[in-house]
Amino acid sequence: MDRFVWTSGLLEINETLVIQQRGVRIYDGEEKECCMAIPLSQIVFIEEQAAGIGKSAKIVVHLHPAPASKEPGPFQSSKNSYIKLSFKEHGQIEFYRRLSEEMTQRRWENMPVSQSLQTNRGPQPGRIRAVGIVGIERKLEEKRKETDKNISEAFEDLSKLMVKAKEMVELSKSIANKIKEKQGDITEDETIRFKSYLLSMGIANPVTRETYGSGTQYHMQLAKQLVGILQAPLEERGGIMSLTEVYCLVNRARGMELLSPEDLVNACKMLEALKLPLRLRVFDSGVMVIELQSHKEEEMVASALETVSEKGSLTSEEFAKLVGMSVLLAKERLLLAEKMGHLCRDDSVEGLRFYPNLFMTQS
Amino acid sequence: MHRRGVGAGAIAKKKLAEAKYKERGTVLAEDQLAQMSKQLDMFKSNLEEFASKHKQEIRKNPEFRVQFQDMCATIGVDPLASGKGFWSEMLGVGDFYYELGVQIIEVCLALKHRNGGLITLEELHQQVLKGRGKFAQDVSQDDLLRAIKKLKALGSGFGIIPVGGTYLIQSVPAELNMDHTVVLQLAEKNGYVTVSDIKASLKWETERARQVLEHLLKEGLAWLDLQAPGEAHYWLPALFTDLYSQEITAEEAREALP
Repeated sequence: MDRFVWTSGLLEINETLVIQQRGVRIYDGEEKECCMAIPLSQIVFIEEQAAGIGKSAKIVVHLHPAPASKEPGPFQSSKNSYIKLSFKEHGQIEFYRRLSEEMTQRRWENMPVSQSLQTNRGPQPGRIRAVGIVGIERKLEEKRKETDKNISEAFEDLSKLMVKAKEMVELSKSIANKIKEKQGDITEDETIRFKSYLLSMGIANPVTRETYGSGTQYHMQLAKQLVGILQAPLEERGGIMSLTEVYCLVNRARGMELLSPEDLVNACKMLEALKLPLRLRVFDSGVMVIELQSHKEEEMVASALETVSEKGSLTSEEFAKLVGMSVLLAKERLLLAEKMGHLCRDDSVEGLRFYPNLFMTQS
Repeated sequence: MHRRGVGAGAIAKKKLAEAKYKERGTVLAEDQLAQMSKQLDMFKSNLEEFASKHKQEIRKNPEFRVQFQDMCATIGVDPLASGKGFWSEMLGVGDFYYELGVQIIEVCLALKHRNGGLITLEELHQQVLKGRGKFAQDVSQDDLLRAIKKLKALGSGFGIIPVGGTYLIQSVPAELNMDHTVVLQLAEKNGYVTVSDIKASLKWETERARQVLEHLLKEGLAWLDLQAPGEAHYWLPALFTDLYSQEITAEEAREALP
């Protein structure tokens, strides 16, 4: 392709950067080639060539014959009168748009007298460098604008969505007020429906201030499912698990459509009411556990006492290791034993240690 | 009926009016519920449309997630309340945060024996990222904080304590009141604190300082260094970031889960 001339790559005085695109391969006709410059005045017309399977999108640039006065370039002669720009890293849409614009405007025809292309081999390097930086800055600016445009569209859509969501919140408040006015004179059915609407939207129940529509059909179903999932693991772990353990276990098993912590808590709160073989228990410390109905923590306390007596004294960590429980639950068991009067504590900087309560046994 | 009390007719009329009023009242609530149901369906399709255009944006862009969460909070909506909520189902935000919750619990459990159940947000962030692996989607510190806030519902003592521009994450039900928190904040600068430090900065009596430090020792959140120059130093392993740039060993991971 003989229309090309060598250039420094920086902008000349009369040149402005219209658009830059990386990753563009230049084809001489159908042949693949490499990097140089062609003045826009040489372009006759351009057309797009869509991408295909395994082929990048292209712009075909049809050119005038090379002028006699052309500066030296990589090729002296060529049999083709067009080149192809192959966009390996995309960007063809924007490039085509800008190139078409320039072809329409034909700004080069209004430029002050200058040769078709001047490779400025001469002085003023500082000047050129400044112009080069302007080019880079402009590119960054365009990129920023593009990103901003995407974000602001998303943000706009989000704002519109939130306006609608807020309407839902207002409506739920108004319904809640109606319910309050009627002072409980609302059917079971209506309550259930209302709660499930709140659940879908993630709105706190304005009537009872319960967390997020607890006690819906969904939670009842969930409670029943939990029995199936947790029966075996509970038996393996001595009949008791902390709610955090349950949360991890259940969600790891599900893989997707995970439960929120609140979903789990709300489902567990229904276990007793539904007469299921598991129950939720809350210790004084606030720690929540799931137990098999058949599990009797108070009986476990008796065996804990034996273990502690055998060893003389134990910390929660030691006890946990001996029995094969988590430290969290071990501590709760020892605390319960203490509460029931079987154990005494020795609380020092070395840790919390439990002893059999000799005050009780040796009267 | 021949004999009627005076005003019986009036009472009967009143009762009828009341009954009619109640009926209307019921109809009103029914109407509103029906309206809500319809609006809910419309909202659901609006959300579906939003999701089809911007679900990826939420997935990939932490700043956009923050904006989303903040806007929800402003209007009184909790998109993470339930996995069954529209937000969770259609935007996929639920799975993202709930899974993160699981990962946070696991990291905290694995490191508890070292730091007593207290860890900096930075450290937690690093360990969670490691656990998620190279090809997983990025999570921000803001994401972690939101996931932790949800974990509080599980009752195992998850808490967030602001210290010196960042946060300490508590994952055990140790009781930490204002005094304890303030001392933790003081310790954040150097990783340790002394009784003199406390007296100088907080103007407390020696006894009060000592009680707080003892409590931290008992809970395993602080280590006592009697060999430090001058007076005893109380170190907070949660603040040892250099030590913890090491991986969690397989041994530690095994010990963490019963």
